[in-house]
Amino acid sequence: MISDSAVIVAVVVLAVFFGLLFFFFSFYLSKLIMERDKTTELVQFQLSQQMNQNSAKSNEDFTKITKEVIEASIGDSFKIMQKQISEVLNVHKSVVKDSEKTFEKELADLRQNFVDSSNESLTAIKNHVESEGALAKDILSKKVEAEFSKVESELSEYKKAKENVVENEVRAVVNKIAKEVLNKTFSSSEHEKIVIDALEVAKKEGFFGV
Amino acid sequence: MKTPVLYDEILDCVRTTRERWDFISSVDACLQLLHSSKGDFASLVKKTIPKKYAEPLFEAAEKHGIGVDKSEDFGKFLTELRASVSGVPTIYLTLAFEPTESNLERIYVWLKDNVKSRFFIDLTVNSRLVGGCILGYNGVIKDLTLGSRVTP
Repeated sequence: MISDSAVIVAVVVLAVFFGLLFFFFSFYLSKLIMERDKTTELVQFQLSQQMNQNSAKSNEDFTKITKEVIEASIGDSFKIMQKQISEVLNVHKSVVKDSEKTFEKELADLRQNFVDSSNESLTAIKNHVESEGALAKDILSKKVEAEFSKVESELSEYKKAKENVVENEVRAVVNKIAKEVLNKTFSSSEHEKIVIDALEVAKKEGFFGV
Repeated sequence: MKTPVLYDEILDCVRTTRERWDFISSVDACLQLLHSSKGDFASLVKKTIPKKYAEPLFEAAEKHGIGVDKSEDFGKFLTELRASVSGVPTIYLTLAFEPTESNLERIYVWLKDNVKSRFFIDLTVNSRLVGGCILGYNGVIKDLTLGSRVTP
């Protein structure tokens, strides 16, 4: 029969053995992993290098092709655009030319209308001014005539009034003298005779309608 | 206005507008007496109205057979006489002196001979006039004074 201690020793020895084995195995595995990573990186690096090289070339090609395509495309577009622009310009020029002609014609018409209208207005103004002038002259002339006749009339009235004053004064003086001289000397029969003579004069002048 | 001959005889005593007024007043008085009195109308009339109007009045009435006592006929006669005085034209006469009755009569006669229609004289005296007269007739006035002839 195997003792307990021998078992224990055996277990321990086995444990140590397996422990060491596990250690070495783990060490070896980790070393392998590291190498694999290095190799992978290297491969990846090389691949990437190659890809980069390829890519650069492709890019150059692409660029070249694209450039060619674009250049071709641009050239056509440019030509089309140039043509279209040229056409548009031509149309524009034509429209502008037409517009200019139309504008010039309208301007000429407008100018002519303005000239005609101005002439008519000027003629009308001239006629109006002439008629107003004639009217003003006529009014002025009438006013002057009226003022003149008014002054004449006033002068005539003044003259007549003055003459009346003088005449009245003379008449008063003569009357006074005649009255003093005649009335005192006339009898009623002489007065009567003078009255009858006066009535005879009136009769001769048709005063009584006979 | 032409008045009937009958009235002309009576109206010869009415020369001026003042006399016309007196005459109309007398005729009105007669007409009043005619309606109110019952006695001797003729003597009442002679006492009432001035002699210068009463005499020609009765003479003309008698001459033309109008009885003074017949109040109706005489009333009609007076009324017509009064009406004939209305509407007679006026001669306006302004004298430089106060005329005597004879002066007035001669002037009236002259006018009566020379103015063909019946008229009354509207007499005015203006002592400021120098001889002659101022006449007004049919709306026309004429200065016939000596003053108007000697002054301009």
